[in-house]
Amino acid sequence: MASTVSAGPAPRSLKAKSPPGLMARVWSLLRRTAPRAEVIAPPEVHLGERFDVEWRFDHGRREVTNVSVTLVGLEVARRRTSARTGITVVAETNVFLSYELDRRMPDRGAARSTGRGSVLLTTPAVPTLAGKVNEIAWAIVVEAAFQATAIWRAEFPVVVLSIRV
Amino acid sequence: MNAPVIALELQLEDAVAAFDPGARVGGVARWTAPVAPRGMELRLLWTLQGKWERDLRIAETIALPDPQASERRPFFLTLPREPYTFRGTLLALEWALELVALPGEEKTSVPLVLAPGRRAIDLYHRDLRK
Repeated sequence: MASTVSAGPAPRSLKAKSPPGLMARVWSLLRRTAPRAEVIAPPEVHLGERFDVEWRFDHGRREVTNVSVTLVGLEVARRRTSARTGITVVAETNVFLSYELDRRMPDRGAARSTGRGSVLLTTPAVPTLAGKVNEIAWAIVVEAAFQATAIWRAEFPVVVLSIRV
Repeated sequence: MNAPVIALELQLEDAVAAFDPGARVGGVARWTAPVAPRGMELRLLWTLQGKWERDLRIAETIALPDPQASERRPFFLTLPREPYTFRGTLLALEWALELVALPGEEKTSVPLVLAPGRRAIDLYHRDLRK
């Protein structure tokens, strides 16, 4: 029977997955005015248990009409190709499970949004798994939009463990 | 030169091949060869088949010591608690138990399901999406 009692690691500020290459440098240069999210949650959770998340999103200079916070499970299939210039890795991902944790519509002109969410990780599902090339990954995704246009997105990886014995 | 022919057979107890995580598995390994193999092994392994490439990991190797040319060897092993058997859009994870003759690596295998409820997890299933 699934338990709803969580006795895992304490919540903490999770590290965002870095945007790649050029984007990372641009974001760094614009740090003061760029949107920024903070997610506080346990870094690990077992399937069958409750997962509680607090989040904060600083809009920067962007006008934001919608912020969503979602826990997603991803299949990641990779392909390595070798060439004279080195090895290139191509990845394809598929979201197999998505839990909406929170959704907010900030007031016009608001500088930040905050909220919290909670979800019971129901089974069947699959825990985090890293092969040499392929992977099952889980992440909290914070997305901001202006009306119907997505303007910002960040992923905060979390580890989902198998059902507690 | 042809390699010596070896007949390999692997049978699971009660012909059951689906298990809960951590379950105990029993069975019988049989082989018949013209001469005694140098060694015999059971290998418990999983593969994570992706759209393009495959990961393979041997979770446990059990040596069957002092093999004779023809033999019937009962075995027991305890399965790990994970990873679970699943099938998705881009990936599928499958477990197998192999009987391997050394040094030629002739082998036979039986597929296993390892998942809560003894059913492979289907990531296609629309009900998973909340």
